[in-house]
Amino acid sequence: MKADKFFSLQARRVRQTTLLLFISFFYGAFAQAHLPLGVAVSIEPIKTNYDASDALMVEIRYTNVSDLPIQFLMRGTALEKQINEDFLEISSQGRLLPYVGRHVKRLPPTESEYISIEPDQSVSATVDIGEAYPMFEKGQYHIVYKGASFSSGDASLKSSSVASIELSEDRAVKLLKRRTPIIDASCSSTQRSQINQALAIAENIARSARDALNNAPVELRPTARRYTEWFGVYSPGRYSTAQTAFNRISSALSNQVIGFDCTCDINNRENVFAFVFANDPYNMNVCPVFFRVAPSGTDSRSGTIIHEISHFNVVIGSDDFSSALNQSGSRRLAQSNPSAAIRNANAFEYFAENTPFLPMPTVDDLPRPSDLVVSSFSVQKQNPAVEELVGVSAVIANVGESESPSTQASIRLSPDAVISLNDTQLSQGVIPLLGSGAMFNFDSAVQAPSEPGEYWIGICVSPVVGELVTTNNCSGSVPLMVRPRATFLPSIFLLLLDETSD
Amino acid sequence: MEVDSSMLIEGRVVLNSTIHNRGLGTLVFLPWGSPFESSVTAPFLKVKVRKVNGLYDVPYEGMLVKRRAPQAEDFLELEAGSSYKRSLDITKSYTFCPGQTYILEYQGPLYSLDFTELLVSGEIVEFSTHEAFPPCGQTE
Repeated sequence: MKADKFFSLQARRVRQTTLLLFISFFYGAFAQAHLPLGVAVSIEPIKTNYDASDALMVEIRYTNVSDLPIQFLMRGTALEKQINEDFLEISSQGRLLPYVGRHVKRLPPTESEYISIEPDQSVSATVDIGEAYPMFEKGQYHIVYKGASFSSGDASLKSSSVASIELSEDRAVKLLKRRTPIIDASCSSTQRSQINQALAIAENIARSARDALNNAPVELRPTARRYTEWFGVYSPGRYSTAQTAFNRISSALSNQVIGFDCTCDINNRENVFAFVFANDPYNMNVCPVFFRVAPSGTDSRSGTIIHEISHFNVVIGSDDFSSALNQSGSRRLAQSNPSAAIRNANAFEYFAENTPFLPMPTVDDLPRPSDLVVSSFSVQKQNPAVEELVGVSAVIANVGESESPSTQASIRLSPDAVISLNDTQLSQGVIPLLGSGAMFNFDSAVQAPSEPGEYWIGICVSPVVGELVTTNNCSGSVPLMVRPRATFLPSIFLLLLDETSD
Repeated sequence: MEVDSSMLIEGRVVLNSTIHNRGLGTLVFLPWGSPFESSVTAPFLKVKVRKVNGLYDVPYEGMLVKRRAPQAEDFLELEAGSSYKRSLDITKSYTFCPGQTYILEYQGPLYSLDFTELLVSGEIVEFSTHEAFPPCGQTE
């Protein structure tokens, strides 16, 4: 059989299969008990946790649990090694995910598209379910095989198992197909140029909005004026939603083909900017108001494009709030109900349009901390005898922009040329409070090691709270060649004594 | 709020909604995105389908509309004690498959002139779809 080459074909006892299903899936065995004689299907994730870079591969196995050979069409099953029909039911947080995969119109099947399975045998294939169902958010997903009704002979294929998979992180939104008609023939040439101009601006302001959110230092986000104006009081979860939204909006505007239809098939079109269907990315219907407003600024053409893209389920699935159709309404919503504001399409638009201008913090707005460095280090004697006292000198400087509190400096002995706080401490002393740009001369004396040999010596300053850079708090190293104690005089004396006794 | 059973036989889900003003003064409300508009322009309903292992949300697939801010003439007025009735075909705004049981719940919002949210008690409507509905999950 041709299919042998492609699929792992394994003979299994029915009882073994049932047992495996019971172990693998919560109620797989229970569901299987309801199956008619025919093909049992099991779904097995190939990983327990999928991260953002993993293809969402699952293994789907079809087992003949009847006493007779069963032949069936591989179309619309996993045995095509890709999902070409909606044969799975995938849900997350109580929501069924829509099927966004291929729908294939085909010629009548040929004989080669059928597969035959002997009793107790199974065939399996792995497929990427992320290609056909919008699984972008981290969390748990439940997969049920609902199947397509196809058969030859009397065999019926029915759901037999439930599997769960866990996405450990959000995944980049991936779309299966690009929309080709960019601007529909319903748009006039003037409208085309208005759309193109607005698209270019939208791409620009979406990127700026994305960068503004991503670059704002975490500690300054709670007071980020531009964020709190449109999304209300800061919460890490909502801020992260805003980041996800603009990552996706910006990515869509840069990488996807946006479809425009100027027919505006809607009642009362005179008050309408635009409308979309959330499940139809990235097509939008643009209406008279859209063409009347400015290309940029508040409630502009470019902002409307951002508003509409935020609606798509593959982006963030935002909503319209009749109470927030202008800036003052959106501000009120942000103040009174931040969890609604983070779903408000106009909030995304106004954040991106940023008119009037509101600031977002950057690293430049962080308080300038102190930064202690060792600007010089020297030893009086590089070849001391064991346990000999050696004078050391260092200059400690605060090169930061605010004063540093008093801290400790310690002389460190290292077996290698890199000095760190992990090296042996020989002595320590106090560095006083240092203003920005101030220096301190640190002098001390240390005892050389008791074992002769080659060492390195240096000084480290203990970091202070809020210090900008702490990797520059130790000096470079100075080699220290520790020699044995001078014992030649007693030896000569002993030698002389020996000669005398003779 | 009720679903027109005669329309279900034809494969359509038509919602008959009535708003009563039980207050003493005139009620002013914005019909945009509510059952009292001439077409579905917002997800004012929560729709669920009953499956073997529980209820599942049926996502809204209708249009989402960006409009200019409403002006006084966009609002409707309802005298004290009177009511306003509207029929709205919601068939295309959600996927309704044949032989399924659906539950509709009004989730609003409905706004007054000053954008305070009007309290609307919407009952829950349950209905089953007939074979006249187009099969779901079919090839194109």
